[in-house]
Amino acid sequence: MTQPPDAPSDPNGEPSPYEQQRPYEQQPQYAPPPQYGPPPYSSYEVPSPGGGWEQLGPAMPPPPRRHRRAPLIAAVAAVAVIGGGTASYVALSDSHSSFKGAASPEDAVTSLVSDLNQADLLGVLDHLAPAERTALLEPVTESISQAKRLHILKSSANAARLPGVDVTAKNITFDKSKTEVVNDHVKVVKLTAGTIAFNADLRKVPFTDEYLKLAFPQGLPSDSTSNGTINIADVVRDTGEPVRISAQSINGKWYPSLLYTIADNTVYSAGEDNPGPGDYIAPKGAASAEDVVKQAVAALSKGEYTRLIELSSPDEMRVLHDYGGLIVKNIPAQSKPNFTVKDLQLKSKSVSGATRVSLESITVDVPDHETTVAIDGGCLMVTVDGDHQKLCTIDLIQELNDGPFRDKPLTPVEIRALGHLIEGIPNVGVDVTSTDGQWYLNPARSYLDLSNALFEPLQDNDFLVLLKLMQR
Amino acid sequence: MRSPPAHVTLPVGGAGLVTILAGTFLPWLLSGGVRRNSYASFGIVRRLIGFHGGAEVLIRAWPLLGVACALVVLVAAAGLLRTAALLALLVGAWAAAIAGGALAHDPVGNVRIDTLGPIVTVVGATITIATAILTLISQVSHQTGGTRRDPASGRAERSER
Repeated sequence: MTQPPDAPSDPNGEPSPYEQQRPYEQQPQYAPPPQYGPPPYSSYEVPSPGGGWEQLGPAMPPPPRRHRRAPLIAAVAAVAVIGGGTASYVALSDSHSSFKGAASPEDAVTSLVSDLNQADLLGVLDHLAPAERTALLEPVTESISQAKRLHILKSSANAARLPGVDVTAKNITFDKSKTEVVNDHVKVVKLTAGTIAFNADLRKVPFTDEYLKLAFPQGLPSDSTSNGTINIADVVRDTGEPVRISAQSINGKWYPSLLYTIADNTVYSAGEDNPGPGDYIAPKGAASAEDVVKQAVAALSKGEYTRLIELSSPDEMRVLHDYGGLIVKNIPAQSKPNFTVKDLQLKSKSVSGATRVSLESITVDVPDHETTVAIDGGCLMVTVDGDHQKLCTIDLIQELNDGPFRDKPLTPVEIRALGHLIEGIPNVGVDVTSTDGQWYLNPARSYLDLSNALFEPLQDNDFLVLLKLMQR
Repeated sequence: MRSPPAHVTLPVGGAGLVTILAGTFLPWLLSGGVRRNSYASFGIVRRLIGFHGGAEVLIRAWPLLGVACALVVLVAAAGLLRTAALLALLVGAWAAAIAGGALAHDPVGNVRIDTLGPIVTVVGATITIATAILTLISQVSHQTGGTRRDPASGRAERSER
């Protein structure tokens, strides 16, 4: 293919747009080559200056204007590169524009209050300290995914939207001069005025129609909505104290903290002083995921609550370490457990953002009795004082069919759903995470993950079938 | 039907790409009184709850949309119209899928989709896809129009240009 000298390169053999625009280039030369005389060239092949062939016949068409287009093309390309690159740079900045902590606790609360005043729920959630955000939101997100999978919630349900619950804050103010120092990384900011309105409406929760029919056959109850307004100024007047919000410092940045706020308000309302340096219990983890649970069970059986706090995650449960002394001091002495764990076998598996440790077998001694419980596939092996009993799913179904469901035995679909639910029991466990090479317990996450573990083996309509079964 | 020439489809396609990009920077999500563009919206939602499956891949790469649009323009400027049209088709489909998916979400509570950004993006995607298809048709007809039948063998041959 012959092209003018400044034609763009065409490595793919694709036709250039210029070819479409210049019909004179598209005239095929089908004439047989001459047998003699000068070599032929097509009408657009211009001999090189000073070279060879004398031009005969009519004047040549004007040379292509490509030299005028080249700067334009270069300009368009440059604009595209600069514009596209800038757009992507700004886009990346925006997509990472999370709340990355504030310079002071007051700024952290100001930022939170700003989001509250604008009712920006996403912004409020984004303000939580990173470890708290992960601990709270990951299990909730998992629960919503499970609920959608099991046809409890519609597929449009979304954790970030918290459907059915609206919180709107207005004109929140706080007294900067009264910020209280708990320790070097926790301070309490005091709100003095403003209103927080909440509205919870069960009807707005995106339940599926089949779930609503089964769970509320008579329709949603009349008290399915709840709303109210908290006037902070009224609270301050009634209690004589401002509303306390704790902020936590992580790597030099301040975040509003839900867990520290709960701990601070609990301690304050109990009339206790803020924890001092002597109340701090340093984290001291275990070597493996299973080991941390074994040590926790051993500590629990001996009533060693300080050790339990040591084993708690310094990320998720830093608050437990700071308030550890106060917590241990307030545990009643008579609450010491009265059992011994003789043997404990565990298994672990990876779950979203953590490792879940579950039971394989346990042997517990209480005064005059020894009990062993082992999980063997779908069966539970229970040995009480040498008396061995094997409880399998089929046994439970048999008992149900002989007992409460004698008149109308379980259908195959119900048996299958029940079997799946029982399969979920051994899934229940404790979530643990690793920090600086040591393993720690994550109590908040474990609690929120309970239902996820239990319902994990349920499939399709199993949950709805079980719900219907419960209403028999 | 005669396809529009390149000097028409190229600027229109470019305008489509610019419209897509402009749409992504307009508000997409309204949370209380705060509006966020598509990047900030996907960023915060991904941090808080995450996306799964194909949506996760499409949204993780979303900030690179500007680079993808620039690439289409660069390829077109290099004269590789067919490749540029195919790339534009992919970019348009990507933008349309994300913006269409966002528009399909019902408003719930204080957090709802702000339709301005997604609609502008869908419009841009539609323009881009349409011009990409027209360009591809034009390229294919341009190629097939340049064949001739060899009277001796009866076989179709590409003409040399």
